Amino acid sequence: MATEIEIEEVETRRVPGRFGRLFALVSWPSFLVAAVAETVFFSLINPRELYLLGEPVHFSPLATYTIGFFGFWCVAGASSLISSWMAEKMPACADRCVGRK
Amino acid sequence: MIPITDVSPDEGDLYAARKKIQPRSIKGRFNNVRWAMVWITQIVFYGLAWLPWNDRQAVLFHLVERKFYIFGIVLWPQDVLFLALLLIISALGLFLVTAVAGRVWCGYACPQSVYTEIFMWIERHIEGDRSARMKLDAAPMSARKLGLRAAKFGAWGALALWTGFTFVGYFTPIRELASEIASWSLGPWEAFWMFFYAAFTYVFAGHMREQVCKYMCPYARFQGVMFDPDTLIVSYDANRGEPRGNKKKAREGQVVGDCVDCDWCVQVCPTGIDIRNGLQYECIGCALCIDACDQVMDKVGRPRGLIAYTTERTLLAKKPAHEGWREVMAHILRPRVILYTSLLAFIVSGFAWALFTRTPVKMNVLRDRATLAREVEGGKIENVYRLRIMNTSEIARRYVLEVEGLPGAAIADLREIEVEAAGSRDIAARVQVDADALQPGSHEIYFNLQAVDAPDVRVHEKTSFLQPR
Ligand code: SF4
Ligand code: SF4
Repeated sequence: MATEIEIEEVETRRVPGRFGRLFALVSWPSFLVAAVAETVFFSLINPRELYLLGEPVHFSPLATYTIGFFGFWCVAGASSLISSWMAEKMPACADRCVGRK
Repeated sequence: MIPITDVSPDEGDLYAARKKIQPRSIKGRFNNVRWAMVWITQIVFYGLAWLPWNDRQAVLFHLVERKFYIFGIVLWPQDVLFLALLLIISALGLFLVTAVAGRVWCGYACPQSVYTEIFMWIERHIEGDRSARMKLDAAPMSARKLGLRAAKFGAWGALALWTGFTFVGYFTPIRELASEIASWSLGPWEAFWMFFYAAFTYVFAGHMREQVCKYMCPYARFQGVMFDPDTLIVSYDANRGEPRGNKKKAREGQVVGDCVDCDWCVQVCPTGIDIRNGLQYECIGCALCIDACDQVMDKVGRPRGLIAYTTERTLLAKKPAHEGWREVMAHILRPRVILYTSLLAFIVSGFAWALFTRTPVKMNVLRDRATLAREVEGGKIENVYRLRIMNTSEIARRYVLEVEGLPGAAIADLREIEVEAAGSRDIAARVQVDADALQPGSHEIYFNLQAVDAPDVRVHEKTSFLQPR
């Protein structure tokens, strides 16, 4: 009754290279942080009441939200980029390290 | 002589293996649950945006008006506390579910899983099953391959655009958006977000798929913190399965476990891992390998459950999965779960209480900076205030305004203020006080706003009254 089940080699993993890894580590966490920052910032501050270089902002609210979001994303991304670069350069953890090696 | 060292970069590092996962499709109990979740979440997502409520969209986070409509509830920027509470509730809910049932969120409800599944469904119906797709991937470009690829990318694109449109429809009224698109007058920012979200869906669900879960998702990495020995995990019963091998081909006297080493569990896995290697952070808990192995076990005439939902405790106790259920249930109520549940219950009830007892009117008071205190006819001092009155209820209301806190203070030209349902109104209030009645300086004063039709709808706001020298 046992049916013969075909056996097949599978090699399925996709592993990102260095740039892919950097992209994953930097772009996505900063995107999430930007989304939170955007929500908090604009729920407290009305885009119509913002000042830019001493002038009231005259963009449409949607434009302000969008610019704000990408601004937050860039800032958070820059921070992530520096952190991941430093993490790469960090010397390997010695025996006395607390936590995982 | 100078020794020459090869310093060329390791190619494997920069250009790592990029073999696409072509999962085999599988039918079974858990696959049915997955599809049920796809239907439920997507009917809600695509449909809810069109649902009307009191002549407006039922669920709308109106960015331009800065008001959130959720059925009968209208939230204003002042209600940011509710938003924060909602975030805390979602986070706690996720902790609780993860502690009890592991990554069920990932396997069944996460948009990444859901859209990947829909995109794979499209792929399967256009390009064929797993082996057909692998052949197609390997084949040189031909008219047929081009046609299939174009059809697939086209279908993906159409779905992604509809998703982007729906997404934007939660932030600007979707019916207006639809008519703007129909009349070719879509605003640039709406268009931008529509395409941005569409591209995002397309790339994540069409191309990146499991890589998002494996390399990008923070939740996948910190789930280990929320796991304990009683958390449900998908796992392989090595005691029963090993040594794996083909029973028919096994030599006389050789002991062979129940795993026939057919690799089905690996082929169906959307993240391409082998669950027989133990719990891995890449496993999204979709349970498709359970469906696959159950089918194999049925075919070879062995009991199901070689791969099953179980807990670490059960595995350590070396109990087969079908007997482990009692063990699992016995440990459901453990301190961690009780803690999460009680915290959640506490915050949810606080949230509900705050929401249902909140006064459906708000008032912001600002002293007019342009006109400071001035003397007016009749020996009175006048201060002008800018008031914003926000009616957060669903009916239009009239209000009366009063001042108190200073003897003889009164509002000039006092009249009733009418504010439309879920609307706001800015007014100027001129408050006058007898000049002799006050010392120079700043004095506390209160505005009382009272709805005409409902005695309990009232607000009381403090501000200051300036008496010049
Ligand atoms: S599907 Fe079951 S029998 Fe087949 S390889 Fe996986 S664990 Fe073994
Ligand atoms: S190992 Fe099984 S449960 Fe985990 S992701 Fe793969 S198929 Fe899904």
